[in-house]
Amino acid sequence: MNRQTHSIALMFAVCGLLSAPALAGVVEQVKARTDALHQLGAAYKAVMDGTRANDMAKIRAASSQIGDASRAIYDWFPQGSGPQPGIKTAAKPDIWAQPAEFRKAEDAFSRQAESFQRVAASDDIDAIRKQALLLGATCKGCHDSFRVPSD
Amino acid sequence: MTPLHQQEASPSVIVWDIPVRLFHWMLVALVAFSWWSGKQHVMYWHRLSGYSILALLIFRLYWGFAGSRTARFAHFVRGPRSVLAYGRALVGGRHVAAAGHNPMGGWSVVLMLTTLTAMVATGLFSVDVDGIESGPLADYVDFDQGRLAASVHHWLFSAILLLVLIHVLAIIFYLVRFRQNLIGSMIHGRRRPVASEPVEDPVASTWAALIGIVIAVGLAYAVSTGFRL
Repeated sequence: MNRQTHSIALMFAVCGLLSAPALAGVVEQVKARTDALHQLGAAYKAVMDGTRANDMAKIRAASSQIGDASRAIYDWFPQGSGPQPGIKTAAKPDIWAQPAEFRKAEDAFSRQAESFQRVAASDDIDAIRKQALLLGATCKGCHDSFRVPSD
Repeated sequence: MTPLHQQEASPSVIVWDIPVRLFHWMLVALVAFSWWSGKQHVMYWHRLSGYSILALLIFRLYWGFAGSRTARFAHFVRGPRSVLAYGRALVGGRHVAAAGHNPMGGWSVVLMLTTLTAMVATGLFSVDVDGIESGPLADYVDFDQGRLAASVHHWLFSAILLLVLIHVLAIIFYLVRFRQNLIGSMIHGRRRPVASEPVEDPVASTWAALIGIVIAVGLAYAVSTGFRL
């Protein structure tokens, strides 16, 4: 190797070493996000189970959880946390390619989660069921656009 | 060799009662519809189809004890020696048509019924990845258990497709190799008599069938409500 090639090789080696902990950080972040979304699925199931059994406490606990997630979600998709070698995620690159659209989807989720929390505070189980379906449709809308199908 | 249409016109016996035949073809239609509705994620119809299959399976289980001679499990579920003997005869080309399911066919029926039952059972407890769509018994298990049920439910469908393929290939084999039209028999219930078999037609009791339908529909309905009647 001549001097120039040697320098370039050294530069790549250093970058590789430096990025390893950075990638590890992204792996942690994506895992935390995946776990949080998994919990969100469980929370929505809790809502549906609650409406079957008329279990208000269960519905309200879940709606609070969903509300918290709908506010935290704005921090879950930072730049560089998308699909790449070493990262296992169902997030589509569109999230970062279409930030305005994704922001709209996040806002829709926030609004629906807030509405649902409000309706869940009442004792009207029929209204709660209807609102839950609207919330679910919002989840589905975002997933259809920004998540790789899990089938 | 007598052509097939002439074979049907010669004196025939009844081999399959009406409930067995209806069960078979309704199952074909419903499994196909469940497949389509599941793939398209139209879960309301998928569930309805699943409850219908559940009712059919419950009826078939009942009919395996209360039905006509050829419908009963005792008639066609045979031990390993009979299965081996039948297999050897088949390989040697010395095929003698059975009155109803032969020993190998009998076990394939048991395998298909069992797999379908497992398919329905896992569906009842399944929940999708978003927690939005779920079976009627899913609220008796937690999210992770429901997701496991959904995984097994999907995996089992591959097993069902394989069993159906083998079933269809076997039917074609019997048609081509032994000129035995099993499809026709499952439609009109008739076949050519064989010297060695009993002369009396299998008799199905209408009352027994009606009782079976009430039990099957009642149980399937109870399950569909998650036992929240």
